[in-house]
Amino acid sequence: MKHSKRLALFEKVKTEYAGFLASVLWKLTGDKELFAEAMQYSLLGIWQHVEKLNGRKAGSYIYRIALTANSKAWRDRIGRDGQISEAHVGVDGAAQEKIVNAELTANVRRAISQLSPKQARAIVMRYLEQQGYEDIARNLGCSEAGARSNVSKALANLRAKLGNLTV
Amino acid sequence: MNRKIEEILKEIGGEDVPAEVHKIAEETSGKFSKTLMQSRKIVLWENILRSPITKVAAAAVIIIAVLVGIYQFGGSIDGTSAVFADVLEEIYNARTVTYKETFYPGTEREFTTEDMIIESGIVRSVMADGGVTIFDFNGGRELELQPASRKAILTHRVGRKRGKRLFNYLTWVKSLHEKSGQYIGGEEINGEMTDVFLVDEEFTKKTIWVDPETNLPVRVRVLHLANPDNAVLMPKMRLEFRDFGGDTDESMTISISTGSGGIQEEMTTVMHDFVWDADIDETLFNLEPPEGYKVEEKQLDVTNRGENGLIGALSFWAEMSDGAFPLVINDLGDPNKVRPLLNDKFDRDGDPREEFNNACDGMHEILKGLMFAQERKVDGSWGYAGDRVQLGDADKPICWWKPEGSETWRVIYGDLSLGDSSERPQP
Repeated sequence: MKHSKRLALFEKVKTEYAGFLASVLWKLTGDKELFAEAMQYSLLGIWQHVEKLNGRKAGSYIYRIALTANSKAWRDRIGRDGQISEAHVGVDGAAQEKIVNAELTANVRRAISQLSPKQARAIVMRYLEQQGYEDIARNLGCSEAGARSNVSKALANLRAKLGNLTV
Repeated sequence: MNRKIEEILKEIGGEDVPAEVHKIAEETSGKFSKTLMQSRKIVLWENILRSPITKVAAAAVIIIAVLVGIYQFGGSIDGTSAVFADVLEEIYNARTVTYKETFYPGTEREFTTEDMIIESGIVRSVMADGGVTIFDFNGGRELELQPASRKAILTHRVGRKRGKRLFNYLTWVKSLHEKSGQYIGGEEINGEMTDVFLVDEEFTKKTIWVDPETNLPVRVRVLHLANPDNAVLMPKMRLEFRDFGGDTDESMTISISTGSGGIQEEMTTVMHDFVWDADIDETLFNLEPPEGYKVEEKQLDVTNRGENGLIGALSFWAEMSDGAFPLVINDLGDPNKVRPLLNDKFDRDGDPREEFNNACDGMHEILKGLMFAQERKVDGSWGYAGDRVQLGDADKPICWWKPEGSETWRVIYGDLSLGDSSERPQP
């Protein structure tokens, strides 16, 4: 595909999904620096696969791109210092409860980044995007029962990674 | 209070995106788009790495010399992270190319090859007579197909030096500032405007016409300049199968070039009719000889034997010349003098194929030895007095040179021993 055509398609897709990307990536990262990095990876992913994003399945691809980008950004972050420091949880204020809650939330986000693509998508669509099982099933290419199963498995995985969260 | 994961997930889901984060998204997105649209000719083409290799091809030739390719470099770009560097690589990463290459070899007739290169770096070249050569430089293999005679020659290069990085014509890499291409303006080619760049080296001048939209070459002209020092010779020689009792017009030509010393005769090559990122059938690059072809497999020793190679060449000459050495070292590259010696040594009225192959190996070793001497000439330290020496004259120097960084001279003596001298030999 000629570069100019690619560019035009890229800009079209970017404009169409800008709001969605910002929303999903912010919910997955909760941190400005991490968000910026995930956004860059997402844009790169959109550019790389732009030919596939011109049809009905574009939304499904964008989800995949966003989740992959989120995983990469988290991997970069965790790789650098091995754990999430308080400074990275994007919290204003010094209230102890807020800090602890924020840390738990950050742990949940991190754990989502480590789920399999299908389970990550299931969790994001169900809880972060508050979508119905019918929509989740259509996006995952499975039945409604399958969608419910993916969500349950994802939750079970998150619990296994995080244990019982307490305040 | 136990906070369950589901509660946390629902809280996350209910979050609004802060205005500041929207702003980050817009800025990131804007920078990304700007990168894609930036005038690549300035950012990227200020630095073009020149490949240090030159290709010379003719019908039924085994090419020893290295190939000229164009490496294009994405310049580094101010970005907030390494992701932008990845962007450039992805954007400008061509997967395949096909082109034609026309050679204008000085006084000889011009000819054109049709070439294809795939992502793995394997090159397929089709000659005017239909002969096909497939080069796998990293694997050290070369398959030559002669459709007219249904013959396939598979050559394994042994002794080749492994580079730190895989050698790949299509590799797009970041700019190297010490080897720069200079943007010299625009020019119309076939009705389309192109950006023109010049890469100017001591013995080669490359002009590259680039499609500004794709940032890929549409035409490349390489002018190989003759070395003004006529004493510097690019080793090249041909042997004929018939000279060893063979019954076909097969020949073997070997030429050796590193591009560092120039050539005796000016030559121009033009790469044109580029098609980038075409879908290419990868089976065309298969190094397995096709069915129905008679296969000959051989090894080609491309080891740079350095001074030992030169000793070997001088030894052969003295063996076949009653103890005399070449009058001048360039005699090792004179086919009128070397071919008769090779015939005398290898043509024994035995198996023509075996004798021809042995003679070709012998020719190759002589040319490699000569190449070593040529490189010392380019260094400026070479000296030769073989016309005054006979085999066995242990105290008389045949030739000498000063290795880079060395305080002493390396000397080959009349008994073909190798020694060091603190002073430049005075024969």
